[in-house]
Amino acid sequence: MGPHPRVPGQRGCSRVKGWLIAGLATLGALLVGMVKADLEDEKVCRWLARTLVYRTTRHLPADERDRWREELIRDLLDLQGRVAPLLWAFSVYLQAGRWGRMRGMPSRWEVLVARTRAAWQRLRSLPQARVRARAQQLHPASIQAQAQTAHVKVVGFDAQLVASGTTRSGGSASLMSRPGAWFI
Amino acid sequence: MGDLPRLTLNVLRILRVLLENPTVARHGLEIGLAAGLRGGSLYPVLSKLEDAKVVTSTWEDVDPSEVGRPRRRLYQLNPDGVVYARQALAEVQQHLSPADQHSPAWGRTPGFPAKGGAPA
Repeated sequence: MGPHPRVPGQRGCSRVKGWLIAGLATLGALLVGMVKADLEDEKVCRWLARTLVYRTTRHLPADERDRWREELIRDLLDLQGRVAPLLWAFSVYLQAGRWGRMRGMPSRWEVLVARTRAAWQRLRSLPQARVRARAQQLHPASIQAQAQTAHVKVVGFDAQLVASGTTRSGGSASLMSRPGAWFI
Repeated sequence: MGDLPRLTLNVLRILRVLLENPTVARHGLEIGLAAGLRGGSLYPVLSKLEDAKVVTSTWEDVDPSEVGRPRRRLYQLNPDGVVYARQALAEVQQHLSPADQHSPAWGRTPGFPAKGGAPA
């Protein structure tokens, strides 16, 4: 089979493509302008660097986090300018996973695999749990317990009927139609 | 000392910086700048050296409110660490010295003179 023939049209495709490119270019320019303006502000850079440090320390064992956070933020304060602290923090952040694994923390991949496995086991045990519940319901001991409960209710109802003056036979006849009444 | 780290280039650079003046404690950024390492390479190695008890680290003994800045974490080679660092650097230097001192026949074209030596 050869290539599909071109669908004839009045430059429809090229016009749409042009608008799309212009729109994306405008959006890109706006985003670049915003990011550039933000990065020119030293406060934003410092905030970003601190955020990166916080995110880095989350990869480390819990008992070491405070110490490293304090140390890294202290070292960031010594770096002058806008970009230097940001680059420093970013380089630390890039190595955070490896550093965490070195300190005995599981990698992101291991965490993902463990979570997926746990979810899968939970999902697989759902039908088994249902079967177990059903088996428990149908167990002779549980049927006996249900029957005893019904018996107590029926005896109570019978006593009410006698007390209200209804004939014993009539009461019993009506009771026979109730579930569990055969137990009397 | 505990489990010693592998002698990578970054480890050697840090050991060299710390060995320049073993009696002086330095903070992480200072070590990193002197060794030419970025933060991502520096702190994992420092923590590894600290685990191996080659380096000891302590918080700077100052009151932040008095000096008007947060305290620094200072690193210093301990006595065993100084010995280890010297040995490690000497070993590497020995390995990196010209080949004709240790293995004359290896890596040299027969008949050609070694660098700065007489023809073989």
